[in-house]
Amino acid sequence: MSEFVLEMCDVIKRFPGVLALDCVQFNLRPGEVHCLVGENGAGKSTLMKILAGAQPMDSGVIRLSGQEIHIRSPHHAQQLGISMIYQEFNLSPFLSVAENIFLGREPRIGGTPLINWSRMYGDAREILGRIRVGLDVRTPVNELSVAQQQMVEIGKALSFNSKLIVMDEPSATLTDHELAALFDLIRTLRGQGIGIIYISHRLEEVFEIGDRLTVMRDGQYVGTHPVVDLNREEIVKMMVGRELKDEFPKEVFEPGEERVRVEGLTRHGAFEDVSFSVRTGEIVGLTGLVGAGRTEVARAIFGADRIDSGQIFLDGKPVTVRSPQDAIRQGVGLLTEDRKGQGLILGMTVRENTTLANLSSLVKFMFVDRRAERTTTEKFIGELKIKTPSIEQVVQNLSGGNQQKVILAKWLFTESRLLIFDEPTRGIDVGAKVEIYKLMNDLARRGDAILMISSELPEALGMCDRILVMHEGRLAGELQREEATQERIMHLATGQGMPAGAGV
Amino acid sequence: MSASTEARRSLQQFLRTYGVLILAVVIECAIFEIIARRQGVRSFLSASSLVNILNQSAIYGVLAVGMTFVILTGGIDLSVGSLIAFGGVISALVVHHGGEPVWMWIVIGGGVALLAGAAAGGLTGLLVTHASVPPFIATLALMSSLRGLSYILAGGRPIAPLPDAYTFLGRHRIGGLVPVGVLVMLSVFVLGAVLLNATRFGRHVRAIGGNEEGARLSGVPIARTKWAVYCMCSMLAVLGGLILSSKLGSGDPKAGLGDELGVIAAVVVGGTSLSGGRGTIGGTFVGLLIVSVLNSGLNWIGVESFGQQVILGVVILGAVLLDRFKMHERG
Repeated sequence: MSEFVLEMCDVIKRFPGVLALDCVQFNLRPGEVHCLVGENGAGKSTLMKILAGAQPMDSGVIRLSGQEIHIRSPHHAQQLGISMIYQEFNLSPFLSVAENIFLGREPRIGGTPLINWSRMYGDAREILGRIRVGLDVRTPVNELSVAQQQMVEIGKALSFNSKLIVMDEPSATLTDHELAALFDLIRTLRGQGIGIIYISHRLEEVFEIGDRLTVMRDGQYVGTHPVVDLNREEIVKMMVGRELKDEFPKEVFEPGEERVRVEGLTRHGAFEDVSFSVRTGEIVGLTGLVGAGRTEVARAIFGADRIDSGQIFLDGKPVTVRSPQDAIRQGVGLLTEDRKGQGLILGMTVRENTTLANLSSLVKFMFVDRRAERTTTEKFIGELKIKTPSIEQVVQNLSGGNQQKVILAKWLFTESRLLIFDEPTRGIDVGAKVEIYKLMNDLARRGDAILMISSELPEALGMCDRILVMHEGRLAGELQREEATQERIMHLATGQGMPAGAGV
Repeated sequence: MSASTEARRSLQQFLRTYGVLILAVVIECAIFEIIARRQGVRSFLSASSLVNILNQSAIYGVLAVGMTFVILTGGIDLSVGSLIAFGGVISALVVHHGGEPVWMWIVIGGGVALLAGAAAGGLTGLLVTHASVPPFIATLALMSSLRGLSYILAGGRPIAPLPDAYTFLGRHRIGGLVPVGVLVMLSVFVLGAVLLNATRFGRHVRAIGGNEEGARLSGVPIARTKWAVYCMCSMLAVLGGLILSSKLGSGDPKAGLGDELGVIAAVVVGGTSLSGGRGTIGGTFVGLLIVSVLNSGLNWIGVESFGQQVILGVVILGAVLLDRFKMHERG
């Protein structure tokens, strides 16, 4: 028997024009959490797609428990005991937990086509019991939270007797509380000898849960190390291939006039009595646990959702914002957290996305002035250093960081002077993050006001002049840059009130 | 210089996207020509037969432009076949009961029919945008009601006789050569292409079909744009109905029965995605040609109508599969 449950040796994969994987090595021991990190485009996904049977490799060897295997299809991979938990779950929303776990493999009554329900429910309960998840297996999955759905996915993986489970950014949509539960579950799996490949952009998680770590960069294998041997800076350096001097290049500017003020903003069921202001040149953070109502406040200011009561002031004047159109006219822009679903028209080009929110300024007579449109787009590509082969590139093909820049270009073109960034760097790799932060600095310098929603506390602490903390739909407190610490923010975010004095 | 390079680039783009479809039309023509020569019937590829093909596709063409816009927003319009009858019946009714001068009553009849079409489309638009009724259901309901209304208005049988001048739109040929209906269709295609490619409205239509929520959060007026699209589609369907009624010389409540499927087929064969956001007017034109050359060609070489339907089904499937294959290759 081999020491490893999985070995991938000298894996090479070519795409037209690129060497996506250049002799990559990866191995996994039973009962180990092996983190796979690297910037977007480093080749992590390609490597995992090969493992999942979704793509063939050009050369290389894959061994499962010491035996060489040739993975023919995703179905085959599953049969071999390789399971994937993607960010987007493969669950059927109106079917129950048990039906989802055994989808396509339902136990039958004898040789009949009838489903043996009692056995299916019993088996599902047994599997969830193994990972200590107490869910009613008859519940339709659309009634479950995202975290619970993830548990169902993991249960489904276990039902295949998986020897290894790949988790791709499992924390992206979880609250801190749910994340803790996920980590408990991962430790349980680890205790049962299952190998886990854990992909994440958040290095804090690597330190918390990881046993070993493999870094990839530009399709190359950089190295594998025990996590305890590394610190944050060393990992970042391996990922970006150079010393990253300053992860948060914050510049502080003298704030000017009040750009936006909200008073008593309320949308029942989402947030209550929220009041704050942002001045020009300021970056104000809006943080809290997932579900605290941060995104909802942003959407209300942007006119995407109605408010029940309260007042919004822009430049000191009371305004009514009934729709995103109203907000855009008033110089407000929203960079949504869900870039692909809400921020971009994925099938349209860089040019079309850049000008979409302010097309009327390019209309001459009845027609869109193509030349002006091209010039405008090229100007923003230059200013924001958007990496794209041409302005006619379909945005679907850009990396996350460049997609975010296209969205920013769209709002700069509308001459927004209040920009709301909702999780601006989620899913964006370390190098591109710094670029986004620098662009935020540039905006603040020229007198824009920025409201930044962030769940990543180091980011909020690193980039904001002030931090507003929400708890269950209400503003729990406000911290100045100098006094803010992770502990104080968490104190407020978990509803323990304003920490008394400095000695928290 | 940049204008000509842009023109060349967009031509390249067009050929890359629709080269295969254009090739399909050419191959179709060649096959029919070869068979026609073997059988010793008249040559298929004569100027007059090509004009005939265009003439026969004029009605579908006018409808297909409106349908392309609707499908681009991610919707569908099943009521266009009934609108063909509805438009024809209304205009025939006006002309039938009108007096002298005939020309004035023909113009009034056409105008009233177009307004009625706009009202029907406006109703669909309201149902889709403000009552959130799925377009399939809203237009299915209208398809039934408008067909019934056409029968009631016409009293169950075609409205005839109508004055000779009524046939101008459907039968007249300018200089004895170019049918008026073909000119109308070509103008609708050109205007449709300009509207889609060069105006803000067209951009909004594609943005909505590509990602409605994303478009809304970029300040695109969703309701107004969709409403306009359904109005336009219905008015064009009525225009098609006017051409047909003029060709028949009567207002027939049975006209256009099932035509919505043929129109959708032409749009889909032309590469427009039923999920919205992707498609062009040029593609629809080529799709229309593929379907009409096929119909005319099969007629020419004497394949009876049952066989034609079978072959049309195969061609629609083939075109969609080809498109899937191309998407797969790209993605």
